[in-house]
Amino acid sequence: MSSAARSVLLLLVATLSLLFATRAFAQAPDQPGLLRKAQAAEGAAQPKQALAIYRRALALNPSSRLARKIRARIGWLAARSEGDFRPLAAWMRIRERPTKQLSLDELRAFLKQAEGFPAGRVRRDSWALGANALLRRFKQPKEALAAYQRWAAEPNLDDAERQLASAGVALARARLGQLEGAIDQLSREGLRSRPEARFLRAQRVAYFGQIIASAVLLALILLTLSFGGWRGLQPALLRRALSPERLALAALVLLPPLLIIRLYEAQLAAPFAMVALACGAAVVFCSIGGQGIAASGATERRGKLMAVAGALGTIAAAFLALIHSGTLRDLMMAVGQHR
Amino acid sequence: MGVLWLGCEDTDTVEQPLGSAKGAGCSETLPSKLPYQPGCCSYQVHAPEVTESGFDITTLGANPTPDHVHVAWAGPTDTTFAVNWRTDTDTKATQLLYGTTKADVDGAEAPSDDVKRVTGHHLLYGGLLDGINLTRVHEVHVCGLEPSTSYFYKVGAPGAWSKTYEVATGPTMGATEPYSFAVMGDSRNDPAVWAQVVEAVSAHGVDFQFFTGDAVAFGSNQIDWNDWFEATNGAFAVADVLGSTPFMLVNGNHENLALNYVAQFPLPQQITEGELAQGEEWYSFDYGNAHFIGLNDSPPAGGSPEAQLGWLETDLAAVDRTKTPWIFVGHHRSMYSCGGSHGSNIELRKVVQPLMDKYEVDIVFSGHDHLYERSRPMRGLDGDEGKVASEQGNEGEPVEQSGTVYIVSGGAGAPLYGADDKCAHTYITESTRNYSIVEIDDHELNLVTYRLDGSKLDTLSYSKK
Repeated sequence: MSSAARSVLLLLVATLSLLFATRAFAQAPDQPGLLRKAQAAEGAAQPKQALAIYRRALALNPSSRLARKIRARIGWLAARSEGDFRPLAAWMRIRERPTKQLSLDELRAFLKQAEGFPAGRVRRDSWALGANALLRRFKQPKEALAAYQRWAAEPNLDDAERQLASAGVALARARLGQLEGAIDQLSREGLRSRPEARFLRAQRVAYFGQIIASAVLLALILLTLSFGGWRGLQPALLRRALSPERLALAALVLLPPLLIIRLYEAQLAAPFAMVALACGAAVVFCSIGGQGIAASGATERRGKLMAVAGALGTIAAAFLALIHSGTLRDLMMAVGQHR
Repeated sequence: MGVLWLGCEDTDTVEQPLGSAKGAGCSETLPSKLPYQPGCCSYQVHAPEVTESGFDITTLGANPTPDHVHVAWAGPTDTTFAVNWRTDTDTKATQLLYGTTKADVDGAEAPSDDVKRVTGHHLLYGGLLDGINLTRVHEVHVCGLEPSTSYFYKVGAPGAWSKTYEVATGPTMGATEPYSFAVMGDSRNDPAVWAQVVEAVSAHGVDFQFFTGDAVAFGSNQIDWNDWFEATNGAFAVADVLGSTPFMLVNGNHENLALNYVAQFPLPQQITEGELAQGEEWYSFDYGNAHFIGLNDSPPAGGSPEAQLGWLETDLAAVDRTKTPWIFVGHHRSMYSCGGSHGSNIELRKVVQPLMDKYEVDIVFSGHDHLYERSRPMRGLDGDEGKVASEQGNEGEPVEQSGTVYIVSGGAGAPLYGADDKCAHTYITESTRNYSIVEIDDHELNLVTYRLDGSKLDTLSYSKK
C-alpha cells in the first residue's frame, strides 16, 4: 500500500472514530433525560424498570437539584418492592386509571387480586385506595367497611396508618347507619380528637339537634295557637306587633354586629345573617302570637310559659340556621384540634 | 419579568464588623436597623412593626434550639433562599451556616473555607389572641448562590444549631430544565391531615410548594401556627419538608394578614404604594421558565384592591413570554367554584379575569372551598357565569390553549365541603383531601392531582409547542 493510500486510510479511520465517538457522546444519557424516562416507566406501571433508571440517573450527579426528586422517587419505589414489584405494578395500573373511567367492577377485581399480594406496603396501600374509592366514589359502604377492616387487620401497621384505617372503619359504619357505634369505636381506640371523630360528633349533634330544635319550634307553634295566639293576626294587633319602633329596634340590634362581621370577614356575614333572620322570624312569630294571647286574656302562668317557649324557640331557630349554614360543623371541627 | 427588586442605595448597613470570620463572603457585617440589605442580596428586607426587633449573633436563652425552620424565597429563586425559624423568646442570636457538603456544615461551629455564615434579624411578637404569649422568630436571607445547586444549611448559633437541611436553588431564569411544584391549600383545623398531605407531597421530591391560603384557622393565634409547623404523621414530620422545600403561600381569609403570618414567612417584598404587610401582601417571582404571582383577595381594612390590580397589570405586562412562557397565579377565593360553601366569587372574577384573559395566564390556583375542582379552559366573561371557551381537556389529552384553567385546591385539612358539577365551567370536581403536582419540562406541562390514598384524581397535560 502506498503511503498516500495509507494516509487516506488512516484519515478515514480517524474520521470514522471521531464520528462514532461524537455520536456516542451525544447519545450519553443525561440526568433530565433519564428522569423523563423513569417517569414514563412509572406512568406505564413499570416500577422495577423505573427504579433502575432512577438509580442510573442519580449516579450521574448525586448532588444536583434533580437528585432530590430522584432520591424521593427511589425511596418511594424501593419501599414497595415486595413480590418483585408485581403488586406495585397492579396498584399503579389502577391508580393510573382516570377517575371518570375506573369502573366498580375493575376496582372489585383489583381488590380480589390484592388478597393474593404478599404482606407489605402495597397490600396496605391497596386496601386504602380500594376502601376510599368504594366509600366515597362508588358509595358502597358495606364493601368499603370490609376493605377498611382488612386494612386495619394488616400486620406491621404504624400508628398513623392504624389510625387512618380505624377512622375509615368508623366512617363506613356511620354511612351504614351505625353513627353511635362509630363514635364509640373511635373513643375506645383513643381517637377522639381525630378529624373523623369530630366530624361524626358534629353529624350526631346536627342530627339530634335538628330533631330537638324542630320539636321545640313545633311545641312553640302549638302552644301559641292553643293559647289563642292566632288572634294576633288581627290587623290592629298585627300593627302593634310589627310597629316601626319595634322594627327599628330590631335593626339597631342586628345591623352593627352584621357590619362588624362583614368588615372582619365577609364570608361570615351570610351565616350570621341566616341566624339573625331565623331568630328574627321566631321573635316576630312570638310577638304576633303574644299580642293574640294577651288579647285572649292569658293568665300570668300562660304568659310565663309562652315567654320560656318563645326564648327556647328562638334558640332552636338559631340552632337550625347554624346547622344548615354549616357553621355548627365548622365550629365542632375546630374544637379539639389542638393537641 | 415583572419583578422590580429594590435597589441597595437606601440601605443602612455595615455598622458592626463580624470580626475575622473566614469565608463569610457576602456577609461580613451585621446590620443595625431594619430595613437592611443582606450581603450579596439585590433586595432590601423590611419587617413588620413588632414588640422588638434587632440583630444579634451571640445571645442565647434557656431553650435556644431552633424549631419551625422553613425556607422560602424573598429574592431571585436561582441565586437566593430565605430561612425563618423560632426559638425561645430570650434567644436573639441569628446565624445561618451553609455549604455544598453536608459533612462540612454538620461539623461547623463557625465559618470556614467550605462553610459560609450569614446573619439576619430577629422579631418578637404577640398575636391578637395570645398577646401575652410572645414568640421570637429569626430570619436570614442567603444570596449570591449558584443556580440549580443543592446547598446544606443549619440555623441558630454555636451551641444551639438546628439539624442540617438541604435546599436547592432554582434553574436560571428562562432555563428549560425540568422542575416540579406542589399545589395545596386550606390546611386549617387539621394538623393530622396536613401532615398526611405533606408526607404524600414529599414522595414526589418537588422543587417547591405553592399554597393557596388558609394554612390555619386563626392567623393571629400562634397556637394554630405551632400545630401547623409541628404536625406529624407517624414518624414523618412536616418540619423536615418545610426546612428543605421552599414554601410560597398567599394570604387567605383565615390568615387575614395577621402579624403572625407576616412575621413568619419570608416572601418577595416588591413594595407598591397601598400595599400592606411590608410588601408581602402580593408578589411575583420567576422559577425556571415560569412566572408565579401570589395575590391577596382578602384585604383587611386599609387595604387597596385598586393598587393590587394596578400592580398585577404592570407585572403581567412585564412578563417576557420568550423566557417565561408559563404564568401561574395563586390566590385564595375561587373565581370558578361550583360546589363548596362559597362557590364562585363573581366580584373577584369581574375584576381579575379580564387580566387573566388579556395576558393568557395558564393556570389560576385558589382554595377557600374545601375540595378539588378544575374548570374547563375559560376565556371571557358571559354575565356572571363565565363562558366555556373550549370543551377540550380530557384527561391525558392535550388541550388547545384557548383559555385559563381555574383550579380549586382546598383539600389539605379543613372540613371538606360538598362538590357539585352542575356548572358549565366545571370539568371535574370531587370533595376529597387532595394535592396537585405540576411538572414543567420546557414547553410541556403535566399536572396530576392526587387523593391521599395515592390514587389519581385528575390529570391535565398540554404543550405550548
